[in-house]
Amino acid sequence: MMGALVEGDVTPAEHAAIGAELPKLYEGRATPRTLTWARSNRSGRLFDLAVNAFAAGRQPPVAELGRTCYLMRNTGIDGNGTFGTKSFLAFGKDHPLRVTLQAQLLTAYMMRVFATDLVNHFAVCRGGRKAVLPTPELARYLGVGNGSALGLMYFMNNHPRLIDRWMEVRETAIATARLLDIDRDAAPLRRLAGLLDKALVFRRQDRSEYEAFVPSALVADDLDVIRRELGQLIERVGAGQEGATPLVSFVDSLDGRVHPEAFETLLSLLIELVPDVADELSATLVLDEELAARPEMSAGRLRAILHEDYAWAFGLDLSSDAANRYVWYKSRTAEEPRRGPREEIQGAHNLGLDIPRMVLALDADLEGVPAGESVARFLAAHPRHRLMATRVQALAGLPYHSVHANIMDEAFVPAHITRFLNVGLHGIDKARDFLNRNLRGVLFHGAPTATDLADGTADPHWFYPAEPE
Amino acid sequence: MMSTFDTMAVTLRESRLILERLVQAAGAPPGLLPSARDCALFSAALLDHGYDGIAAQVDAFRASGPQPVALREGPDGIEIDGAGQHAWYVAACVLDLAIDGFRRQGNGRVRVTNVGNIDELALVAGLAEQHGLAATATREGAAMRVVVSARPAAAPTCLDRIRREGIVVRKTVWWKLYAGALEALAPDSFESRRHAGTVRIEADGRLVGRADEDETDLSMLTADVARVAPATAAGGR
Repeated sequence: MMGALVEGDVTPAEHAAIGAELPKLYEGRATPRTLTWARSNRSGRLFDLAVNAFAAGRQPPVAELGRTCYLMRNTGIDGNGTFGTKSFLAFGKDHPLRVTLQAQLLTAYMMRVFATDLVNHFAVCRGGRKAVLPTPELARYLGVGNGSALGLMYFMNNHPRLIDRWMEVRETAIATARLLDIDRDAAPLRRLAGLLDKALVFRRQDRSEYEAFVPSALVADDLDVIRRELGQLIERVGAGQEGATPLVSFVDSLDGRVHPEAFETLLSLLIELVPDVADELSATLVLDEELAARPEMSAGRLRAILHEDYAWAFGLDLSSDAANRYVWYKSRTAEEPRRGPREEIQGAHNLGLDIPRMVLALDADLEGVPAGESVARFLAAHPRHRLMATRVQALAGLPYHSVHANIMDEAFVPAHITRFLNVGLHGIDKARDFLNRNLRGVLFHGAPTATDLADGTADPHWFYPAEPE
Repeated sequence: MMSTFDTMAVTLRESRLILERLVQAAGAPPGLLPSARDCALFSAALLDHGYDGIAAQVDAFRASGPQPVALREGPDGIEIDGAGQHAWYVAACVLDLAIDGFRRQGNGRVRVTNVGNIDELALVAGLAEQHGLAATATREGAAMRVVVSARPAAAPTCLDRIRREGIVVRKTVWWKLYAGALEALAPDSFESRRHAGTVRIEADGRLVGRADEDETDLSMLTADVARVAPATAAGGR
């Protein structure tokens, strides 16, 4: 499937232009008012399995579909200027898709609608009157697939303010929820218990295979512990044996005692207790990533920030062979992001942002400079530090903007960063990892269908869907 | 004059992507990549030559290389000897020194000599907006006078304009630059193909990695329309 998300009505001439340009991809041009271009592929066997079942008048086996939870996989959604699409910072202030990635996510949702329509169409073509539609439960359960790989490391490096803000928003919402006043009816805790039950079933029913990621069964075991203890907390609150903010000590008591994945699941669910706060905070995810330096800053101040914000970099092994093993680059073929051992890809420009080495080199040259000298004069004598000096100044004081790791090290697992973005920013579930570098997962898993939205019956807690019976 | 048929508007993101690759392939070291890229951007957006003049500037930039500049206190602000470097290597440094003087001593004037393609320094007008300031560059014989001053915070910037309207470029010029930018990317090889993907093929032909249930179905891309015909064709796959 290839498609474009375009604002307003599309004229026949525009439709023809999209049809001609989109297949050219890198050498094509989006028409004006285009927000995204998108491509997706059918999942071979499972797509056919679903079509054949519906055509024969029955629902397809969930045991099979549950291995991926989608019938079509996104292979690329490009917007925000790529191929001539509209830059999202040029959207009006009241534009509903102004927040980062919203246009791309709407496109993915439409991909899911299209996949269902396509399956239904083929089923009717093959089965005629015998054909049936997916049950509403199955239609919600099936999301749209997503493949991600090494390119998201570049996204991470190029969007430090977005990453920082997203983390800040999440932590703020969690902190607010932990401090909720809870009455003896314990209503928020009962809501949390219901959500934990969903998460538990979801993890128990997860049929995905993982390599470096934690098996869902293990996470489920610890969610079970959390759920049991939450039940006990609800009883104590009901009996008046807890203070006004019982979630503070409850959450603290679990930290380090259950698996981090289970603990973070609990924290994420806490956000559901403060939906209005979360919505308000997420509206702040419109950010300008331009980084400007402060040339008048003193070299001494720059060095102090360096040691304060990048202390993590000074303790890393950056000199061993293992620490220098990998190079990040892009191939001329389809501009694919790749990462390989240095000796296998000689001559390639290393596109990975080498923060720790740049920080150490900057620090070494700052050491011999009078503390009162301006950064402008320092850079006049040491021009090669411009990128890192600017980045350090522009992001000073932000706690979450960069990955604290040597991404050239052979022990670095890129899939963890890809998963962070997939799960956090994109809302992807069941992200399956391959060779520490590629991920495939499901978007809008359990999300309301277009019919649910039109009927006003959409479940606000649609995530963590149980398998349809 | 360019007709709309011959031209296209390239977005900020596209401009930066291609210009960064061009300056990278022309030798810009990692620490100077974003600043050299933005010099090229404002050169294309603000200077009279527009994108038409970028290829020649990239060639001149390639023949240059980054070096420290020499500073001397002059009668009217700092005097900067650019050591013969291309303007894209020194523009950010020149602006920094002018801003430093402006913000700390109230004197945002610097004089620049010994810079290749010195008229390119006019692009500091765009760079200065990123600092919330205005900057002008005026020729003084073989030298260039750069002056920084305040600017209204609410005034739209060059970047705002590019975000809204893009930069107009002749199609032939753009696609030539696009092709040249590919020089910054690595050529495909057996080894490099092993550096991405859900599986990896070793030199001995061994497949490393697990098979996935979600195998991509490309058959529709090559099949004819009859393949998706109803009912009777159902068993044909």
